[in-house]
Amino acid sequence: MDSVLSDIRVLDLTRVLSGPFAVTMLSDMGADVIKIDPPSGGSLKKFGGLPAEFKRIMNWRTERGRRSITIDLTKEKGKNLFLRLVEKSDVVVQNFSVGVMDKLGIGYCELRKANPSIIYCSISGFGETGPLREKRAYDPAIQAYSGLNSMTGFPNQPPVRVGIQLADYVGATYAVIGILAALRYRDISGKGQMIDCSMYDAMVAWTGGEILTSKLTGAERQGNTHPFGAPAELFETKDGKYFMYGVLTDAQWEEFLTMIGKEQLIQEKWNLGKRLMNKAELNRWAAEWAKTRTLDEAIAACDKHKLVNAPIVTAAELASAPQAVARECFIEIDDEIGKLNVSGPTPPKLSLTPSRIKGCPPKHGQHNDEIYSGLLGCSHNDIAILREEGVV
Amino acid sequence: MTGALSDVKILDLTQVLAGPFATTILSDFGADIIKIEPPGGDYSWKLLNSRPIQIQKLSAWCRRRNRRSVTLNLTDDKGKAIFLKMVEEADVVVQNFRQPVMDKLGLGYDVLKKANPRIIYCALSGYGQTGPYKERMAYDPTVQAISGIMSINGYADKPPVRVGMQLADYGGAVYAVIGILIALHYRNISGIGQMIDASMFDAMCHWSIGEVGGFLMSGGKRLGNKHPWAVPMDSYVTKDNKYVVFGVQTDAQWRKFSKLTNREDLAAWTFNDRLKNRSTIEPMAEEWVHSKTLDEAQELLEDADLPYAKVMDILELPEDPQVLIRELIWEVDDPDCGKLPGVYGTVPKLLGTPGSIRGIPPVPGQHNEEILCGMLGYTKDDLDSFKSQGVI
Repeated sequence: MDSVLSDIRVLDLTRVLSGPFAVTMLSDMGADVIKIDPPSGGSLKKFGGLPAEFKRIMNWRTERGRRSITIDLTKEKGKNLFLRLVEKSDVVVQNFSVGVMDKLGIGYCELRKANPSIIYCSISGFGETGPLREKRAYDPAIQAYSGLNSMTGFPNQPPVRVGIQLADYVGATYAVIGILAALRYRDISGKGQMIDCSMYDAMVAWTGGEILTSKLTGAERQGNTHPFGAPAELFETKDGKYFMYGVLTDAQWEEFLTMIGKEQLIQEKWNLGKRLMNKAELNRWAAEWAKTRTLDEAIAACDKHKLVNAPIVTAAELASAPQAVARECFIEIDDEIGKLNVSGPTPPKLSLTPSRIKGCPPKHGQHNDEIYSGLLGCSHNDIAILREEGVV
Repeated sequence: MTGALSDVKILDLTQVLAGPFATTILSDFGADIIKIEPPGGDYSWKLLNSRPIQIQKLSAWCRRRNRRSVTLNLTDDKGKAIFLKMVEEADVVVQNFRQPVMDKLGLGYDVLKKANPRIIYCALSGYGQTGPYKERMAYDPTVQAISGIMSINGYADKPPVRVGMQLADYGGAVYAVIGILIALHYRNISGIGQMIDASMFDAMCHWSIGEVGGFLMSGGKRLGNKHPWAVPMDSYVTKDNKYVVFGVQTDAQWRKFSKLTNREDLAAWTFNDRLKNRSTIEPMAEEWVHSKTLDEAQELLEDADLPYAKVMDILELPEDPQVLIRELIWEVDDPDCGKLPGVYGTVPKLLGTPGSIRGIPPVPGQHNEEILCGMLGYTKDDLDSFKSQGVI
């Protein structure tokens, strides 16, 4: 089984989450990733107090499937080593604060001189341009700026952020899109280019799409209601679980009436407009019905009547959720510490060239010798000197 | 200027949101997209017919742009034959019908592959082609619910709340795009196409999985705008009743915060100290923000180099300077409506081959003659008889 990106070498300067998450996707798709850290340590150092298990799970998302080398990029010799690696690579990804790479003398212009077909992807909070370009990248801030908080939460409650580091993930996926598109263009034209990927741009690409919906339905926070659904809400079942279901179409409306024992209303043929006008009453009917069923009974009944529905699955339940198991969203790894459930190979599923986890997270600088001698032809002596001088 | 994907020809069977969002990303970067919809237009086109013209146009400029449109009745044998002729000439087919519509039509991957072994076939669905939910009706909030994301959204004393935008649709779309680009890369090397099984559920799980650690750290409770391990962090109300988000993640930031709030006696508090003393620290932050207007708070936080953001209202977004400079939301010139604001731009920024919005979105069947005659060699008489037979 071939690995689809195995002909691509990526130099990974990224740190923390958005950058490494993007690079992990490339690694899962087969790219040869060389992670570059300062000799003094990796990127999670400043978050010192995090529990060990948490860091382990993070590592298996953000550091897996790579080889790790160290370079002090502030030193001249370090810069030269890096540029020699750039000559032999296809992609460079970094997510330092805007301006850092240029200050180090290894911005896109420099890299392009070393390798004109290099693809250079810069992932930042707000982008390389604009009044917010120097703002610290910070997921909750980016969410807030993108307008998402103002649309999330209950109508009379304050705006609330999404409880996952959404801006990091969305920024990362758009970085991957940019890199793949640029690789395609390079295959045709021979030319590399720079990708200015901003987490903020990525979020606004989506919230911007909601402007249309807001204009249709008003910009209030909607809680768990739906602009075109009546009934449609989050309800509680007899066994105290959260269960969501609703009616969007005329056909579903008839099924719903049958399900809750109000078939006599079918002949009145309530259309969407009438259902929306009576939304509160319909939600009451739906809530009452849900209270008479356990979660499993409610799901079975709604499935039978072809109503959209779902239970609220918690993060802790996710690993054993049947669909997640079937889709291999998690895998269990077994390393020297023990077994652990970590995130599975990156979606989507390709039939011929599926993604897979290439290997465990490396130790800091684990591959210094392998890369400096194997790829760059340095002698053992050279490497020893570089170590002494703190270059690697 | 050439787009990065100008040599890629895509047959777009998608409708509603997730599918068109994916194909729009590809078309923005230059792919030649032929939208294939039923005579009279696709589901969205028909649904929006009764809406104000601005809404119809906004939807068109967001979800039908940069492509040509052909109408084709895929339930008709002649329609199927025409489609397969197009498949021979195309690189990619994308669809987001409910499973297993394409298979039932006799146009599943095995059939397309026979017509063109190089074809890349992307099926984007709610839950995927496998697993116990594969035939369930998907609907953005249900996918949010079932992938664990909703359970960590909102406040502890309130029910879980969905993310206030169609997150699962957008997430599914970007992973479909990634899959298509990866498959194109592989086809370059191997000459063979393949099938992509992309699902909104997989996309959401890919992100929610990493939050299990944080969720468990918070004792399995929803935290509103607070954070499992960064203290303080919240969405705070200012003197002039606006919301600002800020937080402290590192020891260095904590020292700055304690200086800002005149509590340098606490500056030595570590990560664990802060976690333990959340109930002391949060009121400090609340009081501090409450004593300042939004502008004052932002200025002081900026000077202290702490990450922060005001909570932006979605309808304020199009006027925001960062959005304008990054060209994230465009105002287009529509021939029927005149100036139309609120069309989302192209992400990410490829500086060599930038994305673009080209030409006016087509009406259904606008390019029937151009494609069926020009590309496939049918005559105008053929077209007339197809039309009368309801094939196009």
